[in-house]
Amino acid sequence: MVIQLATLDRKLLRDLKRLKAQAIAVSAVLACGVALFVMATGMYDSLERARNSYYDSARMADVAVSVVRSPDPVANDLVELPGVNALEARVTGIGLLDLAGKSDPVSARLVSLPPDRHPRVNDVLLRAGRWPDPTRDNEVLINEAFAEANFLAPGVQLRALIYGRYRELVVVGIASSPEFVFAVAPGAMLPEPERFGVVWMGREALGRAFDVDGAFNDVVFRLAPGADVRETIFAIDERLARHGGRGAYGRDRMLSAQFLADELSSLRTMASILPPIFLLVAVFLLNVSLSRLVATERSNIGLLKSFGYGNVSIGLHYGKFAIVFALLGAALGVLVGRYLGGYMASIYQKIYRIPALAFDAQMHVYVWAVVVSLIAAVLGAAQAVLRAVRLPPAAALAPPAPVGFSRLGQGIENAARNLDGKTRMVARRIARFPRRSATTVVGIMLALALLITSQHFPISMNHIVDVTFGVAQRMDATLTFAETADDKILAEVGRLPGVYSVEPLRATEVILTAGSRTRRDTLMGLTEGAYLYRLLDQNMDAVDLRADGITLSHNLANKLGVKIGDMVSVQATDGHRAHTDLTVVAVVKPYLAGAAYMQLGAFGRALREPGRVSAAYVLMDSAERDALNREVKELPMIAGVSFLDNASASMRKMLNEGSGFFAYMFVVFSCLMAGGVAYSAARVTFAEQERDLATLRVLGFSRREVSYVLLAEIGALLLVALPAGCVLGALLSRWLMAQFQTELFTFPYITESSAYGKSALFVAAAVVGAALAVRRGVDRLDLVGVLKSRE
Amino acid sequence: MANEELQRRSRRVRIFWIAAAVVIVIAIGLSMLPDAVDADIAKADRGDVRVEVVDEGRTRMHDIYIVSAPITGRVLRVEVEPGDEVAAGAILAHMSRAAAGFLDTRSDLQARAGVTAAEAQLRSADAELALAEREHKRNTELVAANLISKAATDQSEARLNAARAARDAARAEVQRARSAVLDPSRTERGIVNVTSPSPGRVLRVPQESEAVIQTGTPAGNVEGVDVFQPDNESAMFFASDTQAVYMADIIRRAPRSGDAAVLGSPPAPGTGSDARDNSDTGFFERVGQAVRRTVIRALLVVAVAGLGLYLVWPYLPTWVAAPVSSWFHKLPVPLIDKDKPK
Repeated sequence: MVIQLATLDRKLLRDLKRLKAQAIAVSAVLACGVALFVMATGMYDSLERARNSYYDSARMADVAVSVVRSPDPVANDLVELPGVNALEARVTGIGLLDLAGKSDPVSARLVSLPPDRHPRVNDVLLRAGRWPDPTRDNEVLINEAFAEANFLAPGVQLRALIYGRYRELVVVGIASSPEFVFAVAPGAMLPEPERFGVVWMGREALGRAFDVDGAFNDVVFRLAPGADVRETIFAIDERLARHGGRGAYGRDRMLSAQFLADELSSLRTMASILPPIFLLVAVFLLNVSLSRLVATERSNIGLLKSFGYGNVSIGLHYGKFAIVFALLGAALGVLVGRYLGGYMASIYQKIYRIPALAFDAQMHVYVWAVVVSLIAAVLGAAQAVLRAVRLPPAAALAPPAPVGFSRLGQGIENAARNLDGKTRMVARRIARFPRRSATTVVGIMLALALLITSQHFPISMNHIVDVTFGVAQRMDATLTFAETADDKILAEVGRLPGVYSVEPLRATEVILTAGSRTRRDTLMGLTEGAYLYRLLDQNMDAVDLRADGITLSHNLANKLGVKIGDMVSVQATDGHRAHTDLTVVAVVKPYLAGAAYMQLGAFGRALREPGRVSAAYVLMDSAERDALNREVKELPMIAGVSFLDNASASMRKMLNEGSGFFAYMFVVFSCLMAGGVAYSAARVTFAEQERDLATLRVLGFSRREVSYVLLAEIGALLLVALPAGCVLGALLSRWLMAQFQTELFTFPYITESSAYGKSALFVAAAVVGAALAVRRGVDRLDLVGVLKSRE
Repeated sequence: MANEELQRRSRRVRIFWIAAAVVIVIAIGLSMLPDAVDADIAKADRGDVRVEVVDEGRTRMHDIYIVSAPITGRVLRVEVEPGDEVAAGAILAHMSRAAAGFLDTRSDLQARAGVTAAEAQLRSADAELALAEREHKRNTELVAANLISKAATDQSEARLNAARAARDAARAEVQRARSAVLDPSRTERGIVNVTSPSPGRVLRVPQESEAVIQTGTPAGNVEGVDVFQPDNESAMFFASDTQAVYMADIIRRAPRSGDAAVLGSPPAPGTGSDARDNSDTGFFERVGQAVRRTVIRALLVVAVAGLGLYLVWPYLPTWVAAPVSSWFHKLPVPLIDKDKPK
């Protein structure tokens, strides 16, 4: 038995050496799938674990609430509430920082540090420098991303405008916190570390600065295991109502946590969609290659069987080909996947400030990678192996019956009659082996579709940015006020240097309720005929907000389960905490951050606070920007200025982070796939027709004519696959865009014809390259050998 | 099979392959052409430049005239209203004399006694006068008859004149005494006009209804020219020369084809400051997205972009095309002649 296996294994090795080109083609496609699988699943795994361990070790808050002002002893009541495990009562607020050598003002979130330096919730990790001395008011910590983006090191002095008063601060350390894994300025959509920072300073000093001495204005909670979040939130709100509680919220409204959750879900989508496509193609390829192998080995199988090898041994022998391909592919895929994962982790490290975030896939990822590729191999090999097993030895020893083309329909024959001889050969082969032709076509199609799809991501990202920062938002700058202000402030803003035009915005957090569903979201009030900030519908037409009701984003309407005409009840979380019922008058589908919208006047009336604004959009002369910045830094009412060009640049930077690499990766993968498919197909054709081609050569056909017979088949299949692949690509990308939709982003299906053209070009080039590689065999045809009789 | 037939077929096949290749190349090539992109297109138009600066301001008056009553008396109903424009010398109000007041009993009796006394005086003066007249008459006759010296007539004439004067004085005294008991209901004739000292507007009418007022009481305020004076010095009046300055400030220079035109917006309701420009030199109405990539990117643009040239591909279905350096841009609207829109 041992000798038998050894013999067969030797044959296996010999055959593999002969088939190495095909083995590489199949393994490469398989490896692509495995690599994507390892990368996406491993990254998902690593990110999730890094996040969870960071959240646990640094005691990330489960629930947070801000209040207007609540005396310190209230915190003792809060900790007694059911479900609350620990809490940290803090003072937080927004300030402006004046960085030396930076014209644009920088906003900062100021967070208090308890005297013992260790918050019980949302712990702060010191990354460099030292802790602030509790006896010195002006020593602060700043967050890592901000420090890196602005090249700030411990020892730097900062001039901060806090609550209308200038203070000189000294940075003594760099820190990070799970709360600010992803630090986003209020009102902004994405992190801009150059222009937004987090500053931790002593509780007492900050309390005095914000005029909440002996009190707190922000509490973060960590809940007991198994506590009901909704009930706890309810209890907290009830307790804090009289101190001006703004409504507690869970992690789903903490932007940083929300972004991480979004990222994880899109990674999971990626892991579940992309690898199967490659694996599917690999299955087809294996099937074609092994079927061909079994066909050429026909007489050998007969011999082996007549030597007494059992069906199981024969089956195993051919199964082993598949297993070798699978293991090869898995090994290659794991290596590439780890490399890609490492790269992806480096991108994540730039975006998410999670310590110990590295690509660290666990064993089960690799085990699954191998298992998946084995399954693919077995699926692909099954039919060929079965055929080898079923072949009766006597029949196998006889030469195979010539392939009959007469079975082809009369129609094809009629069509073929109009072709010249060589082309007729091609047409007959394609029609005679429909499954093999279909495999080639489908493989090329999938490669093309995948490449097209991969190009749609940057296209829609760019589109989102273009629309958001070109069509929807046209202001040059947004000035956010420290607190809602009387609308007279708009006239003041209008007088700032360089300002052409001003448009108000009122935004507030509200609790929307419809039936039993409750959502906390932002309600934005925009002026009628708003021009600088417009709400766009699907057709990119500006939506005029109606005064007689509320307009909801599609996401929000879905979550609340309401449609146009339904009533929602709106509860403000600040000011008068007015409560009102409003009719849903429109549902829109903005790309970014859907919320609820109202016409500004109606907003004021509904919440019983007319004439208030919380930010101003400004159209201005860019030459006056420095002058504006200088003035704004002196205005205590202004908590932040964000310039649209900065915001769009940082958004573009974030969205395009690593996209070049991934675009390249997809080109390589898709070309490998298309090339692999084409190469296998051409190889099989060549192997089957080697004798015929050599005969043609002997008969006096030129090399070019003989090559034509070989290449025309691939060419014809490519002709079919290209348009079909484009159609498939359109469908696949449309479907995939819908899958990647998250709570924060809506991916529109935007297409550009060049995506198709470029993809087709790459795929066609790969196919032609592979076919030409096979064609070289024509030059080496053994004309003499062919002339010898087969027997 | 005839050789000719074979060649024909072979040619047909070759044509098929060539056609397929050409179709693919053309399809890929066409797809590489930049797609037309949605753009806000504003039609540039010719018209008057109107630059407005709207700002919050405070009105101030220079030369406020307080028009006071020239006499104590009854002011008749004031017909002007605050805000009315008045010319210099225009009548603001009419005043008449004040009516006499009532007297208390003692004064009344005194006054009436005074009347009686004065009347007695008058009678006495009348008697004196009659005596003086008769004496003078007698003397005159005697002098005519040369019975007495002329000096006697002179003396009697003097006495007559004195008596007349005394009578007139007594009569006057009667009048005076009577006036003290005058019936208060009796009205007097005589109207005084109160006029505006300067052209301007009526700011305030402190006393609108008829009333008796003392001299010097303000009868109405009239200010001079009313002036809209914004607080901010950078704001401007609606004067033609400053308009030009402002325009220059915003526009800076004449726009050229392909310029990025940064524009004002329609005034947002409820905002304090807007700037709106409509140009006569043919540009801007709105800020918006430009047509991007309406140039042939792939190869040509790379070559010519550095030279500031651009090519417009005539097949593209858009009539606005402009070179854009970044992905989006603020409205590089080319000048389009209004008379021949494409």
